[in-house]
Amino acid sequence: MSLSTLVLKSLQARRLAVSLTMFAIASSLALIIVVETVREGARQNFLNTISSTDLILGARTGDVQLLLYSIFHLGNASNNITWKSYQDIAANDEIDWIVPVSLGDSHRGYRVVGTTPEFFQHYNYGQREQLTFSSGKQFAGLFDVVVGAAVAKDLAYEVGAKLIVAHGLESFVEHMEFPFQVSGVLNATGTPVDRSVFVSIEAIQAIHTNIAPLQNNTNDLSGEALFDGMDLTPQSVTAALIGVRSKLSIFNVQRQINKYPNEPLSAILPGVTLAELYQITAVVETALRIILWAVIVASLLGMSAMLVATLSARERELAIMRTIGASPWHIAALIMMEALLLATLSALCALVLANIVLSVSSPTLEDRYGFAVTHSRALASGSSILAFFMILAPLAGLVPVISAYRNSLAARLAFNN
Amino acid sequence: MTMIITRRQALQLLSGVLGVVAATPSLVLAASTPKTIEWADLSPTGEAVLLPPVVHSGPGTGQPQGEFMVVPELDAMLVRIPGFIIPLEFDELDVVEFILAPYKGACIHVPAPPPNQLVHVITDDPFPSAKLIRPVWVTGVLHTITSQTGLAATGYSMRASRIELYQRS
Repeated sequence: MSLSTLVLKSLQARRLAVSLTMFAIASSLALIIVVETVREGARQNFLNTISSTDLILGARTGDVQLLLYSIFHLGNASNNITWKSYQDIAANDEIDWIVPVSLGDSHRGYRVVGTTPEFFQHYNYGQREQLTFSSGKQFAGLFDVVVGAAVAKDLAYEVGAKLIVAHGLESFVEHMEFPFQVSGVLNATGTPVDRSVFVSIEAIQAIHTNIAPLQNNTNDLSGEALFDGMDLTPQSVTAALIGVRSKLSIFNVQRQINKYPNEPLSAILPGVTLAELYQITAVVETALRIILWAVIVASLLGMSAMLVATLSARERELAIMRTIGASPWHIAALIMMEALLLATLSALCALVLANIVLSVSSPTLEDRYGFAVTHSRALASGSSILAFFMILAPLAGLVPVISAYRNSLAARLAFNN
Repeated sequence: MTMIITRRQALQLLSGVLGVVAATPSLVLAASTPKTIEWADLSPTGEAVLLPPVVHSGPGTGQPQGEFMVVPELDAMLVRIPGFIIPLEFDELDVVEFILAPYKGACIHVPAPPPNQLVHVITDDPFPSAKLIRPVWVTGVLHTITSQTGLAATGYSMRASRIELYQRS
């Protein structure tokens, strides 16, 4: 009987204790894989929120704050930009395209973004990926609205659905007078776009117009007709996305915006600010990493403890093996193989377990936090963790191996007596 | 004495010998070892425009002052240049497109860095975003961009083949 079959038979004979240990190690490893995968996914998702935009224009504020409110829709703008300033900046020769963004309204908890149709062309995410429509098209009429994938799913909106925009971010004051109609639904992107409702910038102006005097003059109260011929040029916008003609003139344009004499404005490079934000979260990530490594070490210690504990129960077994001719080295090899086999099986088990957990939680993660966890990503982060675990496994096996080597000598002495 | 020379040393030796022999040493160098250049080399006047006169009285103009042309001889040359990464585009967790600048951040009172003191880099060797605060050596083939339409579009671009953390040598 070869040593390996002996190991298998021995493990089989103690299947309850072995499988429980294996399950304990596998679940802690699976936990690590899941946490790592989600962490990597979140970070990657975050860095890929905006692409192809060279500058973000806003009122004078902190870099991080401007990025947070304009792109991530977190927090509020400290101030808007007047339409005059916006147009002055837009007239700059070095600017290739500029898309305004007007924030401040909401629809059932989702942010309403007032913008121009060019937004759908220029707002890119990931590696220069454009927004695509799963159905319908971009807004054309004054009261047309485009909804993000998560909004459409949550509120069960399809093209043609009617909705009402509320003032403020959570509000009972709704702009009741003007029902909007869904003209398009966007595909999921894993960015805040999924949780946004897009309307034309003129519509934002329209819903904030005091219409009482207008209503007295006409009997037709249905939306668009009311505003026929009315000047709906916005008075202000919250922020703007800018693309420059030459990447090398980014700083020039940024400086010109920062020094704009008529109004305090600021412009940020989204990539730089994303990296800054990332540096802040890096501290937390390091802490998380340390905890994860500690969990790996703890699970290895657990395996070590289990092997040592069973050794005393197997004193007779080992002693018999010694008497039928096994050398102390054979015994040591036996225990080491056992440790490695246990570690390998646990690792495989962990991979399966982690993938099951991720498959189950993936739709929730996508809905709530807007990022998809792929199995390839889980496998990638899992394999590096498991590789580390497998490198440490022989070390964990060392304690029981040494113990078995010594004990087998002691057992031999006992038999000799 | 054993004659063990590394590939790198051999290349240096070779380029050194050829440099003496060949009439256009820069072309030979371009084909073998990258030429280490400084920011001043990017300016035709040979001066790095790192510290323009500081005027702390009110906002200055956004436009950089003076003539900022490129050095045409640098076109298509394999160079190695130190600098700071200002990220533009990410691929997952790595930076794939950035602007290489001679210094990081700038005083609000001075004009923006002139385009001939910036290199627009697209890299084949993505740089991890965790290391963005560190200065780097970037190796790659430099290209000059000359534009008739405006000063701001004139400058340098590079396809980087290798990025390593800067170490003072």
